[in-house]
Amino acid sequence: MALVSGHTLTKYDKELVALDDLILSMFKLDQHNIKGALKAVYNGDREMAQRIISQDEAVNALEVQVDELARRLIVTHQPAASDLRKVFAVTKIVTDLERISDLATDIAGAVSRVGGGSAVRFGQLKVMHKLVLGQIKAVRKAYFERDVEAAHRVIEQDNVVNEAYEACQRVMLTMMLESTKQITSYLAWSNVAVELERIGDHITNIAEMTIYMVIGHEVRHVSPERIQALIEDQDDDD
Amino acid sequence: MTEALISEGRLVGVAKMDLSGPLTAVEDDTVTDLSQDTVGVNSAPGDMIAIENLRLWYGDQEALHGITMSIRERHVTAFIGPSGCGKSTLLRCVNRMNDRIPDCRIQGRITLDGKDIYESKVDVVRLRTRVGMVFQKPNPFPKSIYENIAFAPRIHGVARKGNEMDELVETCLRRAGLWEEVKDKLHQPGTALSGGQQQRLCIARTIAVRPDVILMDEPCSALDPIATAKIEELIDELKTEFTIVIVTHNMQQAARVSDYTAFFYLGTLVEYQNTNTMFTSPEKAQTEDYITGRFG
Repeated sequence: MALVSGHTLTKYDKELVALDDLILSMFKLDQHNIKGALKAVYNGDREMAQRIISQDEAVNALEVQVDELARRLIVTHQPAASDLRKVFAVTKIVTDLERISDLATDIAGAVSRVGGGSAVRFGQLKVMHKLVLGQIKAVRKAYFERDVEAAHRVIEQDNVVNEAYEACQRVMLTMMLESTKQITSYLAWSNVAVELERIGDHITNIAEMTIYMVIGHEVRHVSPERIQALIEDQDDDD
Repeated sequence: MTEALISEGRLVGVAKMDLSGPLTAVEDDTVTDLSQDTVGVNSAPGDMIAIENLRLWYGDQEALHGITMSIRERHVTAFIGPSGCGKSTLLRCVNRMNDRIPDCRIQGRITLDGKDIYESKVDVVRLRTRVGMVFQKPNPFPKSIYENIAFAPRIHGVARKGNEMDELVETCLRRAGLWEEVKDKLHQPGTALSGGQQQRLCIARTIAVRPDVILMDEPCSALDPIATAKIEELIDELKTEFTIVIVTHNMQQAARVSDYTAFFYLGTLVEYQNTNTMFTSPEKAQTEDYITGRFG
């Protein structure tokens, strides 16, 4: 008997790979939906907004598929150790990915309320937009490359997203005070910022579960400094 | 009480054992080299059994390569590993079952409550009343259910009078979760019971002599899932009173019933952990590969 790279039962490997394929599809759709939703509200493009809203169904269907596959893996293979952590992490991550799509849908739904145009006036919103897209790209890479350092950077970077959100809301408030006739529009833009900030929180959750999946330490509700210490301890053990 | 003395698997004499006596020094030829790298936990308060640098040979073949570990009192410890890894061999060392295997040679030390069980004056029969064993295949005596329980207590003087023995039989059968099923047929043969009932009868028989430790060598491998669940339930209840060591090939069973798990591979102890940690975040890559099914 010797060590081998894959499971003795190759079907088990195939099902774990299938789980990752579904997660990858959800990431891609989420990234596409965030970009599309923001583009739609910046340009007042109702047609594009509708397309983004309708794509949420695909993400919902993928979420159900992931859950079904995870249940089957648990029943048929009784995963342990890193396999158990992966299946557990995926069942948490899938909820965050589904919520991200819901939030992208909410952003797209704001197209009729923001009044269109003037994206240039929302510099801070664009900063958030770029940060959040950068974060989801980074967490996707961290998940698929099992890169805990990268996942940790995503968690730390969420503070920057939060700061951008605060700055964005200050600008919105100033604009509302200066132009009360457009308050409905500014409130809608303000909600877009709220939704982007929430997307940032879901991305942080995914990063935390990625770290758990890889090193087996629960890092939810743990400070970034403590997470760094856990990662360094793991590196020392390796 | 007299008992055969075994050295390197051979009968060399008879002696008396008193496990209540003081700690006995180990003979020179069994002194262990503790400078060698070992995996495991050192003996500490609450440990019932301490195994120190145990090596075992079958002829020229070394089957155990310096195992060091401690077994916690009134906890369940599971031994897991692929066939031939030495887990059953180690289990059998704990009540000297290997003594009767020709050409079997042991070096190192196993202590029970701090007393060396391989010390020359140890009474092996007495030792086995303190360290009982349940085997893979249920092996009731070809006697009645009642006699299966009463036999050893009578021999060892644990209970003698009729009423006293009746109470002991009932208590043991109740503790093994078998009383309600057999109370009306106590004088029928134990071998007439189902496989699962026979195994619980064997456990009842084991606890009848009030051991400190119960060794179980794949006790459920011949049983159906319902009988297995009853044994697992029983293990959970018995650990409040007994120290239990179980060898199992069923990793889910190890995860369910044990407090600590030891993984063996090619005669070495690779990892010894709290069971929860072992099955969620094992430290060693070999353990990870084994419990996730990546051994080919």
